[in-house]
Amino acid sequence: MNLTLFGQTLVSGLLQGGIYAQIAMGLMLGLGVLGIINFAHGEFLMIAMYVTLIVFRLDINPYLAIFISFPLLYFLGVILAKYLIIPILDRETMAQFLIMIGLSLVLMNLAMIIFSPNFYTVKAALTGKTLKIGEIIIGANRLLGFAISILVTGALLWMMQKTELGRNIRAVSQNRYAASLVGVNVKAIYQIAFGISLATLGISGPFLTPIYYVSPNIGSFFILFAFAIVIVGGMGNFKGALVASFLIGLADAFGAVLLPGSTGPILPFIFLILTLLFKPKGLFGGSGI
Amino acid sequence: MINKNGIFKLIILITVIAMLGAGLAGCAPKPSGGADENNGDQGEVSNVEPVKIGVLAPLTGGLASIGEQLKNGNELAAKMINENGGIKSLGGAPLELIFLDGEGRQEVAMGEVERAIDQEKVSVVTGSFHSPSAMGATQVAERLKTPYLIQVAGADDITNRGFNYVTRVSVNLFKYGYDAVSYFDWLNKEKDAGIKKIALIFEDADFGQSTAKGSKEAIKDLGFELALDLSYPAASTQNMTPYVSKIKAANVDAVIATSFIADALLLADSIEELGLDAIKLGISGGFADPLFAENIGSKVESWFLADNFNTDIPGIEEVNNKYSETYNSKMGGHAAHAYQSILIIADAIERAASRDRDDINNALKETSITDSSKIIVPYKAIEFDEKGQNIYAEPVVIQYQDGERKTVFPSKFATSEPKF
Amino acid sequence: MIEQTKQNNLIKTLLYILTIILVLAVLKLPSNIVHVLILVFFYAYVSTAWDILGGYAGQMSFGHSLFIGVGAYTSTLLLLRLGITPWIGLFVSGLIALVIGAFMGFLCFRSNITGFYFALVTIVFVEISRYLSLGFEWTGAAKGLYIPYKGNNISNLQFDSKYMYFYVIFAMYIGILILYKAIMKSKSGFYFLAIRENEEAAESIGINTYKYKMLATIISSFLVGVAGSFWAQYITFIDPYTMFDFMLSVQIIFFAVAGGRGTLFGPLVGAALFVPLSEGLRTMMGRIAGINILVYGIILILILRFMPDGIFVWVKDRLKNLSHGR
Repeated sequence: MNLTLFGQTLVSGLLQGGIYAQIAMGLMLGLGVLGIINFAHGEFLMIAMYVTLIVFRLDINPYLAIFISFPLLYFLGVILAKYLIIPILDRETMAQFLIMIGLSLVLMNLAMIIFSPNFYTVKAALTGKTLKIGEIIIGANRLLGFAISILVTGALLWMMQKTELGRNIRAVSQNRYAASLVGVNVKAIYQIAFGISLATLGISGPFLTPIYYVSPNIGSFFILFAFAIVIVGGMGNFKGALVASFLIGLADAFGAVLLPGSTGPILPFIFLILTLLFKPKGLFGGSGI
Repeated sequence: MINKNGIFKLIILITVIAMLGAGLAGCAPKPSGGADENNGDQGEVSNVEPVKIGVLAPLTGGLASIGEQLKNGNELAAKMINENGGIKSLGGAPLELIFLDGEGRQEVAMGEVERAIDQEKVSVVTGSFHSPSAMGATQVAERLKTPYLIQVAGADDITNRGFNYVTRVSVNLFKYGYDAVSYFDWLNKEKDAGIKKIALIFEDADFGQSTAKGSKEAIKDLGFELALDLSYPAASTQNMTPYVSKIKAANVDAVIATSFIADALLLADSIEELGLDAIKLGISGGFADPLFAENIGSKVESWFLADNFNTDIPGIEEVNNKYSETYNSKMGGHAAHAYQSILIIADAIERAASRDRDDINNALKETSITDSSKIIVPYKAIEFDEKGQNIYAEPVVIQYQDGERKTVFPSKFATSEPKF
Repeated sequence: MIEQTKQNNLIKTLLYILTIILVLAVLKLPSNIVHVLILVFFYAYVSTAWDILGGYAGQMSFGHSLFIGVGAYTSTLLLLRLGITPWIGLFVSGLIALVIGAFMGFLCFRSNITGFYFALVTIVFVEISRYLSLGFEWTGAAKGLYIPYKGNNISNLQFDSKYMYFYVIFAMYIGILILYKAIMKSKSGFYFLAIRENEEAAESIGINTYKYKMLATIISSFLVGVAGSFWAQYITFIDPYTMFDFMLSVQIIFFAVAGGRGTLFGPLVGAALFVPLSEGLRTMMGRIAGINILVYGIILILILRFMPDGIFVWVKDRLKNLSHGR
């Protein structure tokens, strides 16, 4: 492995990690606050991507889709929380998990029926543009995706730490009974938190679509990595998740380059299993939210 | 008064009955894709008993659009034959196609083929696009001693198992991989391309693994250097840049890729992004899909694409026009192979002068079609080797030039010069 | 009381006779329906086996397609490479699945990985197995393995009609029912339940939870491994993508959960209702790709949302209310 290849793989892994982070952050919020294992998280990204596709097909700049996908996913989140998720919060983990798998199947196949199983791509202003640093080449689309990811993470952190809403969310996630005693509307907080959890995908969708393609099963590509990140980073630890995203992204990229045949994707998974064995609370400890 | 235990028993009873009832209701002979609906337009009905041919295709499910093309090709060929007087040696017996919907699922395909042979009493089975379905279905046909002519399914093992009742018209995967390298050899000799180091990148299912096997053998045979041998899992690869970086670092002259559509798009994007400077050839699958060209735009002109058909092949205008007239769409490789297969079967039945499966199978294996007016696929002849593979099935290499799909290799079918 | 026992015995006898008649009636059914019945009992068997670990001992495994795959591969490789009859292969398959299950259990339960974490590890195991199995020429790599037809031969566990496969899987199902019932009545079964209900409490009354979770895992994985061999023999063609498949795991769980988790007949009820439904949906609405899985998903959500204990328990409760005349 020469230096250029190493550098290129490093950059590619970090960029990929940034993309994983966007998806993991929202997942973490839902998991940390409501305790719901949202297996359908990737499918909500898919919805945002189809929104982007439709906008693009209408000859509008695909990045503008954010003005539709962001509010759409927020409201979807609020409604789902109200009618599907809050009613099952007292049920055992297995039932919750299976319901979310059911939701994932429903959304995926609904998309297949509406949009056909075909693949579609979206071209944005930056498509095909690259940035060159020495021998290392960076796709402009990926770089933008990366920047958005850092922004989303930063915004979430700021919201959780500095705003009234964030304080309430943290209070509910730490002790919902105590929070309700001091006058926090727990149900409302749940709905808002889940809404935000999905709305982050509404931001990601328009920026990820030009890098990938849109298809009904696009969400399932990301979901296992997103879960791995949440666990490696430590449940409820946003900063930990950000670092874990990069680690998983790097494991993914270096796995592809170093491991034989198509065994590359095993590396992130082995990383996950090792973390669970030796640091079951995550590399950086679960902090709650 | 029934106690708790009794209720348990009652439930078993209900279950068993419900099960049988539901089984009966759910699985009664399939109406969809069945005979009545699809066999409407196959030309005049003569008073001679028809020869029944089972045609397996994924008429529903995710592969339905391909199934549709296969169905059209088969139907058109049967119609033309019936209009020209059917099978003359059987007193003008018409061909009757029984369409079998395999849904692109192996177990369904196996069940349908078994039904066609057992209950519909077909003399021959043909069809197949989805390789696993074809693998299973040929196994059924072999067991029930019924000739099976594969139209487009590419898996090597379909014919490599040495079955007695299986033949295949189209190119197999090994050959695709092998001929991709032969093409480079030709480029070196005729066009001074100067290719030495080749990288292979392929998706890690049977499709990619089999073509790669062919390419590796050709690289050895023809004296190239295999610089890289990369595979990736198509279902979970979202980032192709690490692979492309690796190819770039290896400084190769040419790349051969085998991908499905989604990964083909990602690969082409990453190659563009990292500015990989090499001759690129994509094998069938995702690269042959019109979506590939549609989605990557003008960049597609830098790719060579290996496929089993192209519309610029000389001598197919008549069938082509008829097809467009009838189905309002352009004839593609699937439909062309389907059409060709029915011609081959009709030829075999004509020679066998029999409806008997073994007679037809023997005639089928002795097929020798060399008259180019009877061939609409880019093969110079049709003859089967001892395993049932069409000896002359070779891929054509296609390049988009000024927005048109031009055949550039082999010379016999070429309509343009390769540009690189 | 005596009256009741008598009546019970009568019902029992009638049921046995009816079951026998129905089972014999299978011979008169067309082969595509027998195929569905084979699927029903195959899934009922596998779901029951899953239920020992997932429903009874409460450990949510999504890794059971791995055991089916391992079983299918083991017996097929033994047959193809070494010429060993699948009848022996069945047991070796079970044993290899057991070893892998034990390894998985050892990793997870030693480090107290349970619940969602356990589920995730099992999913990851399935993924890893698929990537690994793609790479070995000896296991057929991506193109998989096929079992050549050698003629109707019971010693090869190969038949030219579907009826015999039906009777084999039916017998296997009866076998697992008896075993399941025995486990329910045994001390281990009681400990499994205690672990499911409250692991900490179980530990505090002196149950070695690690030992019993391991026990449930190895029983379950062994039984599923055996079923994998049967599946390979019946379908005669296996490859990594259809064997090590997450959706297959979900289906196994779905039948058990929809029918009734932790009950004797729950998995059969689930499989008997939803296998034909899914087959029927595909036949009726197959032109729309994905519709059958969509309906699956909706049913999964509805059942879990409104019949938390599954259809079997729901119907039983309704019947009980009826017979007690509210």
